Amino acid sequence: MLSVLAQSDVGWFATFFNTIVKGLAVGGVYAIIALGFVIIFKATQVLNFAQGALAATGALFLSFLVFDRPNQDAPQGQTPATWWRAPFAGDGFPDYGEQWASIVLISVLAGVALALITGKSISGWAIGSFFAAFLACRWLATREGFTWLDEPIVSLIVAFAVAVGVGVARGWRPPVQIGIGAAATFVALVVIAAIDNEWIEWLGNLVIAVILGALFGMILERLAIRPMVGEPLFSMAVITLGLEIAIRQFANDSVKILNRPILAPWEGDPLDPASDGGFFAGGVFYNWSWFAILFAAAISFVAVFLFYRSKLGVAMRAVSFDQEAAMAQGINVGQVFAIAWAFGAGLAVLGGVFATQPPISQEGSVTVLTALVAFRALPAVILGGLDSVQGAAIGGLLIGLAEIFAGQYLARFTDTLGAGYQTIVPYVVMLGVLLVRPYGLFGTPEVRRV
Amino acid sequence: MTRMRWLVALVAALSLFAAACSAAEDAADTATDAVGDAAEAAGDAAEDAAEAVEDVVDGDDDAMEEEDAMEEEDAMEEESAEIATDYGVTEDAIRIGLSADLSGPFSALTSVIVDAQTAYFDRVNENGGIAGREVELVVLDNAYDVPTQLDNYAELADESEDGVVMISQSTGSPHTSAIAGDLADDDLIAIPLSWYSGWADQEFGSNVFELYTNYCFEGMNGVEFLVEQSGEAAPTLAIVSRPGEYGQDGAAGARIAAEALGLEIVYDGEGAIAGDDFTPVISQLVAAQPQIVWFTGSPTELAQIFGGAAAGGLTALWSGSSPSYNVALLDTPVGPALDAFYFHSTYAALWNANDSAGMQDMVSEITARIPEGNYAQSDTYVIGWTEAMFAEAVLEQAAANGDMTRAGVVAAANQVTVDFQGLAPDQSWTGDPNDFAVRASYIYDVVLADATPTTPITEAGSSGLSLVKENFVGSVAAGFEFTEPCFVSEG
Amino acid sequence: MRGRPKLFTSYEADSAIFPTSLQKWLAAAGILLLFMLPFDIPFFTGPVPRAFPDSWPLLGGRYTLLGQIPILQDGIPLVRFLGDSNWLRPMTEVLIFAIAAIGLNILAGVAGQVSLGHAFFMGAGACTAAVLGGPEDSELFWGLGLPIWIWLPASGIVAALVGILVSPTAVRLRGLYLGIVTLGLVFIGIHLARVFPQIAGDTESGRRYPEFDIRAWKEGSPQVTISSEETVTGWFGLNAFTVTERQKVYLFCLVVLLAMAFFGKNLMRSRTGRALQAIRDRDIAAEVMGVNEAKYKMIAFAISSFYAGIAGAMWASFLGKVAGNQFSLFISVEFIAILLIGGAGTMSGALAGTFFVILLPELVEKATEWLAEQDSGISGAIGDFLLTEGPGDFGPISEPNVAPGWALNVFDWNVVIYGVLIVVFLIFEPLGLFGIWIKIRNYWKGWPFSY
Repeated sequence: MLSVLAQSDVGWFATFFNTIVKGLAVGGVYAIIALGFVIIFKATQVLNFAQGALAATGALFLSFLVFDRPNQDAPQGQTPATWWRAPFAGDGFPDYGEQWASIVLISVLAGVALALITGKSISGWAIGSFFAAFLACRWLATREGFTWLDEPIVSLIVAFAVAVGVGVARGWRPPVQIGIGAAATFVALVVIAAIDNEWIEWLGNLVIAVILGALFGMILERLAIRPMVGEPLFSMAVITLGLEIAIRQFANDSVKILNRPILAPWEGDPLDPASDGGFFAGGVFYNWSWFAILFAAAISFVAVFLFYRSKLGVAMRAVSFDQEAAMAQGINVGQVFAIAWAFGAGLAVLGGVFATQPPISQEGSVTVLTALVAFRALPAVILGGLDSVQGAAIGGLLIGLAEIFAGQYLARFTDTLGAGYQTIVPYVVMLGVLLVRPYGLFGTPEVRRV
Repeated sequence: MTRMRWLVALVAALSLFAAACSAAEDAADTATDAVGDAAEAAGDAAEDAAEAVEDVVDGDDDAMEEEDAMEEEDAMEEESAEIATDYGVTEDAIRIGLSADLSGPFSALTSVIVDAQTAYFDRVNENGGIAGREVELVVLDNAYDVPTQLDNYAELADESEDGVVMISQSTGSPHTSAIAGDLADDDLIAIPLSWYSGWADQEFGSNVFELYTNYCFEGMNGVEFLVEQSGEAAPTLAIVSRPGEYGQDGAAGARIAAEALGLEIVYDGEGAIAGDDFTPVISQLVAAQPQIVWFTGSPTELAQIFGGAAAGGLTALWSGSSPSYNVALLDTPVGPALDAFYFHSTYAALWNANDSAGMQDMVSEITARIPEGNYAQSDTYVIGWTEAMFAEAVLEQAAANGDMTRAGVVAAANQVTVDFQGLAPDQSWTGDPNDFAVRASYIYDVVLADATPTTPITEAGSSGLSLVKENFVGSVAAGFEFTEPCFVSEG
Repeated sequence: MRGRPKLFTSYEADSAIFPTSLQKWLAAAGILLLFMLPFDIPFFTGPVPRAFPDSWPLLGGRYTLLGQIPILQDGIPLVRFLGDSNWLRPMTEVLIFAIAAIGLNILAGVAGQVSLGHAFFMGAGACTAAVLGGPEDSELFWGLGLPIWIWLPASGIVAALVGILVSPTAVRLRGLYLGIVTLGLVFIGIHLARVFPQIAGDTESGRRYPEFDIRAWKEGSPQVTISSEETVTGWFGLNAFTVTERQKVYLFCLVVLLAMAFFGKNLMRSRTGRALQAIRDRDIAAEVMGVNEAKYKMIAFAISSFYAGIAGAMWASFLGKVAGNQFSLFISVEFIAILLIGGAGTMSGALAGTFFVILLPELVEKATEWLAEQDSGISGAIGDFLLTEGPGDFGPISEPNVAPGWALNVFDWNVVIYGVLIVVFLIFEPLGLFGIWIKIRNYWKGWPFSY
């Protein structure tokens, strides 16, 4: 941010183009979050108000995964490894043996986890006992004679053993999934360790955070939404509001120290003034993160587009079209709900991660404001239409552009419009469009019959 | 339905059982307690006697101090019988209330402040309490929400034995201003976590005792310091602030300094920070290209606006009101730019920043008493610690006056001069605000290379600030006639 | 067969305010209870045996069952309500919010138009009250210094006019779309409050609001004091009826609430009410039957906003000093929660829901406080397990003054539990408190037979 400083006389076109890219980047984040809203709404008819809390929680997962601080004293020639690459290395700098032991161990664990989760009837028991055993271990760890449990990884292993034990006791026979999961994880870890690249490691962490977020979404769906199937829409919406209130407090508590950096690789090193996390073009500054956001948004839309063409995606579309008819066709509606929530929550995590980056935030960290990004994205959802994927994309981009353009070009009318006028621009745009098209730009009109 | 009924029955049975158990145990407890108390009392008496004997034996060997201390203690014990009390003070306890933000946006800071007060009064209690009474803190959460604050106030101000004798922490300007009138009606004093210049106004904030200097003087000092740093006679100035008592008070101070020093204000963003998106502020700042900027907002807002303006090519020198900056910002991508352009202004000396007696005392006490403390925010401990020093001084004074009623505490607060032992400028609240208001601020330079990581948070690190000016009173602040608040929010 | 629910022999009986005599008596008892609540009248205070005599075998020295109840330890109070306690504050808030909840119930429960903009209409009412009732001599804020009998109704009327302005969108939009658009109103309202500080006061600390005192015109001392320190001794010649400020404010709000509730209940039984219900059930069908959809949606918005405006003015006046940003999305959401938890579409549901939602955080807070104080018995053990009481101790809840670690402090947990209770309640009782009532009623309906 310091290496080059812009000239103060910038041409109008440079500013204009910069504003467009910035607006698109803001819109990209809105679009990702809006997509999460839309997927959940299409499948389950729930407007998920907890999306903001999910976004903040997921971004927090990522910040926990990349816990090591950049200015930690690193031994010569080594970069600190993220925890999942070397749980045994207490100092974060694994030696050869520690690294291999970790890789083997994590592979086995991942395989077992995959088998447990995909195992049909016992997954609930296994997951439940896992969490119960883990909490019990953490509790025991403070008690006399159990201090050996103090390392989190030991508790994890014990909990795993308990979960496997419960699984076997409930009639589960270790299937091939263990082998598949272990082999895949092993290969992935070895490749990652061999490449030893900051980007790949961070992306690995991002993927894990998104998966964790998706699992979290599935758990919420199972606990709070599934029992409500068939109840009025607003009851379900208020349930998600209750979830939002409860989860957001956890997320806020975790950022009480104000910041949880997510250390995106394009950010540049805070200690190194030469790396500035962006570049100048035409005298104006572009953050790398703007393009990362647009890239991520494009990837998510392609992924969702492809998903809707898969077998499961078709099932989901069928469910959103007519739940009972889909059920009659043998579609497992519960499973579709779970997948939709996993997708929605995963997208919320992705949106939350990018909401910590410029242009939404300059801090590169999770703060109490991160969760609010979902409320900022709501007008985008409604503008595009609650049940339209392309609506989410276009609505998000439009709202982002409107907000940033109003902020940039109406700034000199601040005295007339009042400070903070840009925050209500999205709502004004939304209101205007809805009066013309009551179901948003691409939403499906409700058929009105007597 | 059947299952529900079973559940209800089970719960009822369990609760009955629990009630019976606890009641029985209570009875037992009371019995043992009574015995214990008697034993303790006997022990105390014996100890006293022993001490008295020792005193006689020691004679003049020891310094006079000890004797003085003993005499004082004796005097206090005698006094405790005569001290007039109404609410919040009983024979053996003094109740002090805190209405702090413990679950809202500032809870990281306020919980540290509450910790510091707790540690301070723990020590006071170990040394015999105030006027022979133990200090009891009543901690309530206001969640940074005005209605909750009013609920808390009703609870604290209750005119019964549940009430408190003073409020040693009231988080937030709007929240304290919402109770300011009631404080005067109920003869209660409060220490605000807010440095609004209006607290010195005798009509509005007569019972609000603000510690250290206020946002307005801080703004004057900050701008004057920036002018000095910029090396120019009259650099162009920009002011950016939140709306409301905090932001606009700071902005008013900066504007007063600009007028006095003949600076041109090229962008006046007083109250311009609103909402979560700051594009208009950034674009106007960048367009105006000021040479110095005064900022009054939150750390998050500082990161957004400062970072955005730096990315837009603004190379001005910045400084801002104390709450605008937080050490955690150094972990973010704006760290290097803060190092280059930002000066942090505070009201009191920071953690371990000088060698004064008060500082040594605080650091050793807090690290001993709060071994797992939040040292990432260690600079905040000093606020809670000095608040507690003030509260203790006021209560001691009230005890010395023989009047620990609420009105007596108000009178005592208007008499004391608190010696903060080098932690902050000494302060009194006697007479005219123009005479007693503190005008000094501390200014620090941000040095990123000195900042050591704060994980784990239980180890004290350095927040990367180097002292530039201690007790800095600029010419503008020194000459300012402080007759009314710089910013008025009350009609 | 008299008094059986759902058994009516005439149309008049079906649309009576209280269709059964049971309901009539319950309502009367409820109103009486609400009126007695701020008083503390121990009719009998005699000694109650707190413990069995020591000489008794087995039971000797143990507490009697009655002695377990702390209140009973001073005597047997036959009627022992809150008195002039701190609980009156949340109770008064309940009464005020109930007024707004009734309003939203008419819009969302009766007419089926879900609005997340209720806070906006409350804010509109509050601003009207501030301008009409605020002091004339203020330099910063507008004020006309008018008495309460002008500003209180006017705040409702202005809010209703704003509601009428908004209602055309309701004709265009449906369901969640309408919900989100009205949510936008809340943000726009907060922005307007920021733009016009002369009306809404300072952005953060707001302005002072007129008090409840009743004046004929602008004279200095009010004819009837309500919001003042002055204590009135001995209403009805009874010492027990000595009322302080808090009690007077409570009673004033209760009177307003009852008047508004009565009006709302009657409205539902009128032609307008039936038209609104028809729109809720199927708007096209209603139109076919000759109900003018646009007109009745406008009426629904106007009435609902009227209630919200009155409640907003009273809330602001009750708090004394409010800023525009207090009328936030959180308040709107609270009303939706009130409606769903109480049971949409019913008057008693709106009242019960308000009690539940407003008092819940208070109760949760008291429960955790109580738990933290316990150090013996089962409750002590639970507290020991749940609370982190110092460094090295383990428990998901930390004491407020223990530094933040992974354990949330008690106050954070209050918020979490509040959210979780809303979820749990709606999962187990989707019809809300009203659903519980229906279940109880149906159980007794066929008693002693199950069906």
